Amino acid sequence: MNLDDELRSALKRQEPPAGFTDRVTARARVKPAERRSTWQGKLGRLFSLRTLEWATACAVATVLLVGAGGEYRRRQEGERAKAQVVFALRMAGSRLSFAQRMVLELSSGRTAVPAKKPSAGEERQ
Amino acid sequence: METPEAFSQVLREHQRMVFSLAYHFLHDAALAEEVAQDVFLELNGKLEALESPAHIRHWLRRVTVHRSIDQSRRRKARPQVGLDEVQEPSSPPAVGDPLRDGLLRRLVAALPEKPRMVVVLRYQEDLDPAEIAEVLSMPVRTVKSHLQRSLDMLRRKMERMDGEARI
Repeated sequence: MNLDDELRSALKRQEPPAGFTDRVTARARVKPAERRSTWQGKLGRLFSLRTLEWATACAVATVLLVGAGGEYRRRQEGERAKAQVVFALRMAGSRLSFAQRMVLELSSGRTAVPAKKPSAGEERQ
Repeated sequence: METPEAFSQVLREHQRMVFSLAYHFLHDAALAEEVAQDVFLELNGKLEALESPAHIRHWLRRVTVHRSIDQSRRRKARPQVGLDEVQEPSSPPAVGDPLRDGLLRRLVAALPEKPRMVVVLRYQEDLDPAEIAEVLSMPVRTVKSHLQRSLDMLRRKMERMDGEARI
């Protein structure tokens, strides 16, 4: 037997191990998505429908919370501004009445010691 | 054509070819089965695109060859046995002996990557150099050169062993 024939004999086709067909068929039945390698599986799961639903819900909740927080801050600022306007009006009112009193006293010809200018505490009342 | 029946038929028809190509190249039954399974799973998704039985056979050969080479490169970290380091049996087996076949397979497995695949395709699949060149995407001249050098090396080794057996 020459080397060619010996090689043909040595390298003749062989049967695969027992159960090979069943193992391949079983793996072929598994959905391709489940057969993906780890990083592909993770990537697939990241963009799965369920994850997208959760991501959307979280995004909506965040937008609502941020909006509500902004609205609360705006209301607080409004209240503060309103209080400042009321305070300014009261102050202006008390000064006006003081000026009016002075004018009346001067016009009646009396030279009296001018009444004490109202303090900030009195104006506030 | 992509039905479970069609796939099962192709699997039954070509499993010996695919497994043996990987086995004779890798000289490891477990790795060869892994390669063969992967090749058939890849085929399962592509069966529809393959037009004829000849096309399927050609595709299977090409994919098996390249997957086997990839697998061989992945296990490169493991120590490789050189052709001259293959242990010779104390009493060399006779021609036609299964032990002699086993020894020859080990000698083939110790050949470098490309020449090894050329020898496997030539003697397992009975392909001529032009067909081997097409499967391996290499010039026919290179295939012939690999084949010639591999056969010379294998012949020298076998003759040395036969000579030692006669002494």
